[in-house]
Amino acid sequence: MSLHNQSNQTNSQREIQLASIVTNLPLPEGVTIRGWTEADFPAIYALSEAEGWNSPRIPQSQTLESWRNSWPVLVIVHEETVIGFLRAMTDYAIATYIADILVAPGWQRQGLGRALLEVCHQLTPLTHFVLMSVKEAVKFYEKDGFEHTIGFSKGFPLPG
Amino acid sequence: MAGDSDKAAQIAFLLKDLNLPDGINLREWAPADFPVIQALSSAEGWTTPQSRPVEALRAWQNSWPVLVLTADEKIIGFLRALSDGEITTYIAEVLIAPEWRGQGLGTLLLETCHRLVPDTRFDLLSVEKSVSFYMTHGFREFWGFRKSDFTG
Repeated sequence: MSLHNQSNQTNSQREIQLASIVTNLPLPEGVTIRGWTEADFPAIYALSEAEGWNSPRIPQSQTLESWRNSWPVLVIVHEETVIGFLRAMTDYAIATYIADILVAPGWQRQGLGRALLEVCHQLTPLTHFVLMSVKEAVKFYEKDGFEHTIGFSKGFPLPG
Repeated sequence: MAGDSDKAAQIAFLLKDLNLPDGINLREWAPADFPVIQALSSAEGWTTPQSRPVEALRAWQNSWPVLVLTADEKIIGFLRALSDGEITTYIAEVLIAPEWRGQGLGTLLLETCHRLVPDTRFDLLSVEKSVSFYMTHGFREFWGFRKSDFTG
């Protein structure tokens, strides 16, 4: 099921566009950013697990399906090991919602989160970004030029 | 992706047990609705649909679920979202015309959207005056962030 993924780009067109964006980024030696593939999912899931993001109530297959229905979806890799990712949904013209963004603890504070956001921005240059932050990441977004607003989230069924 | 007639049928099915007030209906949006959506947005001070009409129309076409609420065929509210169908739904816009507020119609739009993507969590940014609405509807407050200036 593809819900809103309506850009007419093929995967190879996306890869070419991505490659030209990434070439111009100052990334550490051996580190690159590319579009995710399903082969990356176990590593993505493990990084999420370490961060405490995976809900035991949600089957892994459901999470995988949500990734398939999202774009832009990027991974940042060091010598083919996934060390971070960004998953977003976009309308291509007004708004991009950053659903997940994570850099592995050992790789933080080197500008990699910023690089993921920059690639996403260049893929969706007309849109503004919206996201919900955990408390620990508030400073990062403030520093990156995000404006603080009131966010709300509701899960179904309600917890508790 | 579900065809348009599937979507219409799905919405009609969901509405059966939602007890719409007399004369009120809810359906998938259509591009012909866009001028009214622009007018309602402008009246609320949401300038983008009027100031960037080409992009805004494209954004609406690339979104789902997108619902309009009508009273005797006249549009009185709308909801536009982006969803991965499984985990996360971002509610980009939800609006009820001022004279139609306080009757549960915003709740009706959110409930219909929830039934279209029942496994997902809803995330949204709220304006100050809508905070109490979301608080009383079981939403939890988060640190929301928005970035529209990428020049820095």
